[in-house]
Amino acid sequence: MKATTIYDGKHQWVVFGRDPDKPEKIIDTNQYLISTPNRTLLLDPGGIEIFSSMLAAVLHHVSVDQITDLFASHQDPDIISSLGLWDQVLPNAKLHSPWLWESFIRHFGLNNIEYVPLPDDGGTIDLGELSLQLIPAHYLHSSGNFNVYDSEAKILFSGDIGAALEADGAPMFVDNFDEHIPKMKMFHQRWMPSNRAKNDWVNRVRHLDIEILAPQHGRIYKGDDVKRFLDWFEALEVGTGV
Amino acid sequence: MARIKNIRLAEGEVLVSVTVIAAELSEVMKIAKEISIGAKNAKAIAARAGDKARGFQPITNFIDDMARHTLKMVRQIDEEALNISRISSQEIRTNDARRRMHDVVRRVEHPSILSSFVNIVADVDARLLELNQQFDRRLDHLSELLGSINSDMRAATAISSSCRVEASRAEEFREGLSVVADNLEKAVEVIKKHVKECSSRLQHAQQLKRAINKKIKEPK
Ligand SMILES: [Fe+2]
Ligand SMILES: [Fe+2]
Repeated sequence: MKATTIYDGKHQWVVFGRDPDKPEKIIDTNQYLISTPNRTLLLDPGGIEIFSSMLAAVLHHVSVDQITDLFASHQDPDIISSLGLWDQVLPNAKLHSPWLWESFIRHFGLNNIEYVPLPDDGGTIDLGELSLQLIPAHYLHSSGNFNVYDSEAKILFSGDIGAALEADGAPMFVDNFDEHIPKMKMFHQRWMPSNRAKNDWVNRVRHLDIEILAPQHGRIYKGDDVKRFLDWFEALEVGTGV
Repeated sequence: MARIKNIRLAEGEVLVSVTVIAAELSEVMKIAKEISIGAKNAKAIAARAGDKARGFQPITNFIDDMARHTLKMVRQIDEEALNISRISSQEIRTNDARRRMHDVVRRVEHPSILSSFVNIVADVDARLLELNQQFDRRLDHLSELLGSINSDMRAATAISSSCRVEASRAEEFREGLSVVADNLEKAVEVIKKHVKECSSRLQHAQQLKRAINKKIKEPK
């Protein structure tokens, strides 16, 4: 699995993805790692099928006992169906995830890890030296869903928002926004149900200082492409399945 | 033999131990690449020194070959460690499935209901056995590969002392060539340390694995 450091300051952000060993017909996912000297958080650690590649890739950056926290933006299998395996590898870790999904996510197998239910209005994840803001993103697409904002690194982990369906081995960053649109249009129109939720999110996120918008599928947006994405998303009609 | 309380946690620990080996080796890969670059520099110095470093030239070729062989082994180990990690996570899942299936068998009161299920349970048992054997085979292979790096390192230690002897004869090129010997010696030490760490992880995994298998077979 490919690992790319996207922020290297007092703490680090690494994105993992483009797993060449991923079985066919499984959607490619981006997993993120945020590490501080004493704590490491994995954002949307992924599905059961990529667990081995993911753990192996992560261990190139931190040791197992440094991984203290997991975050699942919502309940989808591509986000957290690996939980039953993490549960045996990181018995002392915490899983931060929407309260709404606790009783559902436990179906993936959670015997040791502590489930920290996130209230609807968000709050923070405290990693000691670093505090991360939880940005509610309900109904985008999941009815209980959060983004993670790091004001120091100016990175917004946006989960399924900004996601694109790409060919295998696509580059990590958007290099031409207009060419990127066809790869993300259907994803947002069909998987996102609510224009009201979408506009509410866009309005709130516009107030954040964002250098990097990091989705769970497809390429990452940098610099001016972040604003281009927000403008494009605001104008898009979603919920087109009916 | 390692004693374990909780099979599931022990399985997790085995998985981590083998996966860590791949990470540990990325360091070895870096050093082996440095050795290979160092050997090329040494070749250049030896060429300039001409007759004064006649004995040095074949040594540098040897160092380069060895570094390349080590790199090849590391790549194979990396691949094998990831394979084992994959088998190990499949084993955890299969074992979990097996536990749940046997639980089903215990709960069903009328054996007639189970007739179609028995085959499935037997399949899972067989698959688990197969995974277990695969795991052992690959683990053996992994320790062979580690052993092969170790013998490379033993050869390298011998080479670095011949390096020193040849360097001492090379007059004004003495210093440049001694550095080659020093660097090689340091690199070998670091690689040995990492390989030792890998071997002990491997052993730990093997011991735990045996303990798990024993515990699984114990009657409840
Ligand atoms: Fe999703
Ligand atoms: Fe997703």
